[in-house]
Amino acid sequence: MASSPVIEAIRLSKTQGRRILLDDVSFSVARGDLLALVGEASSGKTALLRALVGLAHSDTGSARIMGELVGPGAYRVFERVGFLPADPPARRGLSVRRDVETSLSLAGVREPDAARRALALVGIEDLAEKPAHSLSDDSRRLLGIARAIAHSPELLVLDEPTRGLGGVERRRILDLLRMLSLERETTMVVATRVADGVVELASHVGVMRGGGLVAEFDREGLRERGREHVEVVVSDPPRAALVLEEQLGLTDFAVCQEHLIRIYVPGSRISEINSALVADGIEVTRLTVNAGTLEELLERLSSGEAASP
Amino acid sequence: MIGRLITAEVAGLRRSLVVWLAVLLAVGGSVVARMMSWVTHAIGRTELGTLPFLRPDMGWSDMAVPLALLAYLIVTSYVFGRDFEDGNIDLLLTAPVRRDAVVVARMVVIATGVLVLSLMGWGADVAMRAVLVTSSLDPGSATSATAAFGSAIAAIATLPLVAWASVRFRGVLPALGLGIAIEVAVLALGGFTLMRTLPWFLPMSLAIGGAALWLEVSLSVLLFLGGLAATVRALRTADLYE
Repeated sequence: MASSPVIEAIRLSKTQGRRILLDDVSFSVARGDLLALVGEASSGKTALLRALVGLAHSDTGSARIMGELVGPGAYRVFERVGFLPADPPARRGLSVRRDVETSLSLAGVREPDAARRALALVGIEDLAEKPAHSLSDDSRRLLGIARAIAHSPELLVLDEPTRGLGGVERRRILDLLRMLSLERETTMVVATRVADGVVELASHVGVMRGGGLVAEFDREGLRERGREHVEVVVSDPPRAALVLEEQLGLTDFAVCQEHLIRIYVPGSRISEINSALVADGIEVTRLTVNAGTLEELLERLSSGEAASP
Repeated sequence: MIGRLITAEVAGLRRSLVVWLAVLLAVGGSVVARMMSWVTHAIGRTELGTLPFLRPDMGWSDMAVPLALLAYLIVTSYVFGRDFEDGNIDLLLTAPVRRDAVVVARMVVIATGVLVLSLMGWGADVAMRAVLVTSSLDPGSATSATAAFGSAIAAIATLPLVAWASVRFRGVLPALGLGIAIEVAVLALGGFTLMRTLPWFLPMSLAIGGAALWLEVSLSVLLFLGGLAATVRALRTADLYE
């Protein structure tokens, strides 16, 4: 990614007992970019976001926001950061509007209409005078998003902003994130499930598994990886490459890992490829067709069924 | 920044049932203590004998102060612990505010609350005494006011320890449980005599026991500052990974 990142993780690791929460995670996000972090439950997305905003302490490594090392001393940077936790809370005893106004007040924002504007953007302005703690889970999530965006932050760190939302609300939040990204150039790090739609907006996608960031794609790389292709794991990749080129006339392939070759051809050619490689004495230990959608690809990467690039 | 934090804190507490529970304990406790004091003095005077839990020499402060302390414990553990239970700690620690300012602002709110509660308790006692006409049996209102405010100010010194327990163990109940357990234990085992040996209640015990002023003030200040520092440290190092 580009230089002068708005937010970066530098070799973050954290364990709890024998459980690995974060495993040497590094990435950076440039201004205006949206990094979608996808992964299954307990893959480390939430622990990573909480370490990024200083709620969790990593055992090793560090996080920086706008150049400042994240920690209790770097509180001022949060004037420019909005955070949505995985389970957004509501302030007991306050109305929805007063709840947002309290966050604005703590951020030093004195715009009288900022709370109402934020509530309108997420579509819960009609709930403004209801007790915040009486909201349903999905409305509470919308309140959390309103709180995160109310002070017009330059960076948003959002943990599953569309989880559990109905179709209309989900669409509204996706449109809001698109607007913030395109019109205000808000930088975003969003933990999300693959099917929640945020990936479609992302400039970069990171795949988390077992606390580690096992793959990272930019938009082009993701599209490329999503094309139909055959993946083959062979004993001798250089020789296999020769066979593919000279015997089968294939040029659109890439040696991705030590023994993995990705060949961009229709899946119907799988047996032809296998026969040619075996006939040349090359041991083929795995041969799969990837004909799925982008979502399926990410799901497979998240679960470990597909190899990382 | 501290002003903003105090405003936010008061807004959150305004409609809280816990605050009303504390008021009930301070005012109701004072009223009940005055009635009990009146009963025990009446028993002692007429030599009708004593009940197991009543002594003829029991004064108002013997009963009102433990109940007021309970009210202070509840308010402090609630102010510092509730955010960990309802998840609002995430909002607080990702707001652009210093964590030591959070602790100071909350202690200002608690100290104010404790003084107001003690004032209410004393007011209730004055009203009860007027109703019971017990001025010939008990200390006058000036003495009870001194006891109420002396205990309140001394109790404030111990409250950062309750705050620390709330932050360290992330919730209302652990700190409240710890405070109540100590209070009940000392009252059950030896009353104020044993209570004086416990650091948790040391300043208040010294205030009641009439120790040297310099010793009382020094210990109170030390305990207060130590508790504050421990609370700030616990909040700065809180590791909330889920």
